[in-house]
Amino acid sequence: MRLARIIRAHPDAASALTLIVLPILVFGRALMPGKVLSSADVLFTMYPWRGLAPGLRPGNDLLTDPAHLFQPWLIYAVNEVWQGRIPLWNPHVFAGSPFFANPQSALLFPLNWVALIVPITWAFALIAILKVAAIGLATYWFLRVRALHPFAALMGAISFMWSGVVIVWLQWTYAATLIFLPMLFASVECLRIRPGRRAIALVALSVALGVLAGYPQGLALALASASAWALWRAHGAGVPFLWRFAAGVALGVSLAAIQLLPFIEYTRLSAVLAAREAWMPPLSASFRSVISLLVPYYYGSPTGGDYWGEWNFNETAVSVGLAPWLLMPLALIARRPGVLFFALMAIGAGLQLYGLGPELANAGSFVINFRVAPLLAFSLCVLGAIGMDTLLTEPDRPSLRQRAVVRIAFVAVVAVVFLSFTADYATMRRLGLAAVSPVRYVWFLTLFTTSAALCLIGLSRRGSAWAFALLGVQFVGLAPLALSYNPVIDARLLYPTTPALVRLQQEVVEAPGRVLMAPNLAMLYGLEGVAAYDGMTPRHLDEAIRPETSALNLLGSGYVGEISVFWSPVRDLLGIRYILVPPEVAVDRPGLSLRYHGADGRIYRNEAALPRAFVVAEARCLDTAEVLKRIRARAVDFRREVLLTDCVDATPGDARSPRTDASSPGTARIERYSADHVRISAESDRGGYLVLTDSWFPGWTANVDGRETRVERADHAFRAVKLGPGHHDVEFRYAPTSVRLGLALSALAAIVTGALAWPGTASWTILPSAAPILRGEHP
Amino acid sequence: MTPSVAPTAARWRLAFAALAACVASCLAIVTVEAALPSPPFAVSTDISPDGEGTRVTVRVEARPALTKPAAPEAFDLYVVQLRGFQEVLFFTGSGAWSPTPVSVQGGVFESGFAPIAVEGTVRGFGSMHVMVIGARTATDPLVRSNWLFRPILRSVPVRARRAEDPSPTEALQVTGLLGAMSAVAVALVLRLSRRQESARRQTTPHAG
Repeated sequence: MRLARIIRAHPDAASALTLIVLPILVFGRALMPGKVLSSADVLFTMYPWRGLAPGLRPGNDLLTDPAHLFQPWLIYAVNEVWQGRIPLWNPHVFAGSPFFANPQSALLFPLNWVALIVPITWAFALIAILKVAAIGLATYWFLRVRALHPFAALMGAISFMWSGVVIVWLQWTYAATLIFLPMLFASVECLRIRPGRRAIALVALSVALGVLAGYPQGLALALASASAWALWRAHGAGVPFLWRFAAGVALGVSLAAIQLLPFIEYTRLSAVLAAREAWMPPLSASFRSVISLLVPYYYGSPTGGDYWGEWNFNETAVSVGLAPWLLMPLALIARRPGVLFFALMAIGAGLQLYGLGPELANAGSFVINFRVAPLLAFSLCVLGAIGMDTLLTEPDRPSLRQRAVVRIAFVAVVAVVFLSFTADYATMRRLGLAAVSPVRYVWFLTLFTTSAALCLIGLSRRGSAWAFALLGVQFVGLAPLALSYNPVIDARLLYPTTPALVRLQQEVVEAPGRVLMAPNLAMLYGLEGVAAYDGMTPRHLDEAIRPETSALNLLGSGYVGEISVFWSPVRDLLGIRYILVPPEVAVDRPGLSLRYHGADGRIYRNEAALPRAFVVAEARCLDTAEVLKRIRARAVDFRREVLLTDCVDATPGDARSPRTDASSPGTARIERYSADHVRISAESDRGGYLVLTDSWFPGWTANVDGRETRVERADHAFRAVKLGPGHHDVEFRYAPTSVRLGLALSALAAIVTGALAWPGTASWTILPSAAPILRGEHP
Repeated sequence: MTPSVAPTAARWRLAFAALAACVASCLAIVTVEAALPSPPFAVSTDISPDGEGTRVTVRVEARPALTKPAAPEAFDLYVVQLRGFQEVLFFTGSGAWSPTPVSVQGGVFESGFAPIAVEGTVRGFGSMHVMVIGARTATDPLVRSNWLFRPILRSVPVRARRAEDPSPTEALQVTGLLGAMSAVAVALVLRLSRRQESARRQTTPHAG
């Protein structure tokens, strides 16, 4: 009773507390000693980690990106920052690639800063908790600004924060971007209700943080839908409202310039984007996947290892629980403001997601139909919340129509699920799901019947006990996915160092060189690899490694894998001295000697690997096609000559330096090597070119004996500087103009935003009071 | 002083519709200006039961190209099965799947070709994603720069039918039981609704 009184007295505070406590309850077990929220156990399906625990089954083998990319990146970034460096560049993958410029590194996103403060094993769980809580709070905020009853807003928030799309992408940057979908809508509402400078600053902050969250495509779709909402809400506010909104967006983009400009630079040189520009596959879910909106595990689950649906589970998981399906029809017949907009948004996103909309595949490289899923989930949650609001704020006027729509919705949904289940039961039986599938159906039926009963009670009675119960049932319906999808593993399984990796670490000290091992993971062990993926892929390196294909795969994604690198014509040039293979794989190739053979793998040493830095006497200036042709034909002796592209003071085909005695072109020794600074001591009697087989990229500058020297693009993807005769100190530094320019723009925008947000004399609240609504005075 | 007239809802709706039309037009233009032209062929799929699996038929028929090619170029047609996002298999035309590129018809011209139909049996359940690619003759179809047109992607549902269930009686029992449970649930909800309606009528006799 006392608790009920407190909740009635402070409904917004109680709701906010609920939205924060629920994620802690769900993911808090990952904060226990010896536990970690991670899918790193997927590594135990591959060598060398498999050798430590053969037969270990990962908790969710679909979560490979968090294990291979996002968590290693966070660990790398934290280590770099603690060593006093801003991780602009990552030398451990792709022979070096931009790190900060890749928006998915999300270095400037505040939630990720948690990892700088707490141990990394806690950070993974805390970031997940904060993401889910922030999504819930932002949704609640939007719905409350729309003057919905606090319980209705809570229904919308709980439904969206625990929706399939949030939970399955939780460990990707994509989920972080989802915070800003409701936040942008809320900012538009604030701007509409209380136009002024602070509301403009709020829009700007929402846009900027959305960019920094790390998934530009997700933000673009959120911004597009929020802009449509602004247009919809412009009725009665006039053009000035739209101008203010546009100003807020422009300011937000400027605020995020520090991230956007380097990203644009990397985009221009990205293999993935180049491939997608030619053709983006119009991938979408089939219409029959709609059933998983109602029964998330209808087609099984990756955690249970029984998934039989199409594509993969993540792409089709859009469930928002069951209550919205009963509440939505109430919203539609109530004709509340905004209902039509969200109904259209749900229909549009649904058509696109399920392959019934127009083919947007060639609208640039940006649109993937699957990525509209959050728009569908969000609009369903908003409609559900509005429907619940009609129950809470119109209890004295229950109509036959309202009862009828709840009944019709219930019967229709049960009929659809039952008929679908009946049609698919033969398949389920053949897949060995004869026992589990009926249990899933009964679970759905129980929850849905309870929800319908509570809605009908809500239509008839005063009081709010039914609303509490409905919120509880809604959470119970969403909890199985939330509790099971993101595994909490033993902390000892988080990137352990196997004997083979220890041996590799020892070997590179003895004879430095790059290693060929599982993509991306070299960065966790202080090793430098080439096999990698980052969602963008440096185009020149990809083309040098695979000059005959120059494409990642059929769908324009994928990665630079170990096999591609092994058979590449630039394998030796890349300085790959060590090759780690599974223990049963024997590599019998000239120049490779076995250095280690254990239960976790074999290590071969490549005697033909070139050093990271060396001097060549001959240079030839050629166009890109000719360079790739020669590399493909393996017609280049990289030890003797370097092929230069984009030469400024020579015509293509020219020899850039006199042919000299190739047997003693000179020597080079790396004196200092860090991510963004390389110092080399070079010696050459007759002059030549110092080649550094790290990726060429704009932003790298070179100084030879203190004088700035042009960094040439060597052998298509690497760096070289011209040397005169004698001894030279050469320094390469990474200080991209895009970052500096972005920083200046962001700083300027921050000053403007700060001035706009500066407290004035007028009071400004971002949330309307709940008291009139609780008294039954609906605005 | 003439009072300013507030824009009506109809005007705003008109403005919104105009904006939506602009967006749609832009998308259409972008589609036309895509890097790869639309293909001069249409693809249809058909499925039929085949023992333990599903027989899938893929038909490729010529259709007039939207844009006239400057110089007609021959191409090879490939029917590819996407297995997830990474792995692909090629339909050989003789009903088998090959991991290495095999075309179903080579040296085809945009001006027209006889309809091609290939069929094969697929085991497993879920969806099969078929892609038809037109690549320059004797080039690698997996390399995008060799493609002459946008590929066509089709999803084919592959599932067992009730008639093929090894023990239909048991299936009938399970689905019958679940159907009965569903009927009870529906009855419960309808009854609760009616009871509340009559209670409401008793307490508020004038309501209506």
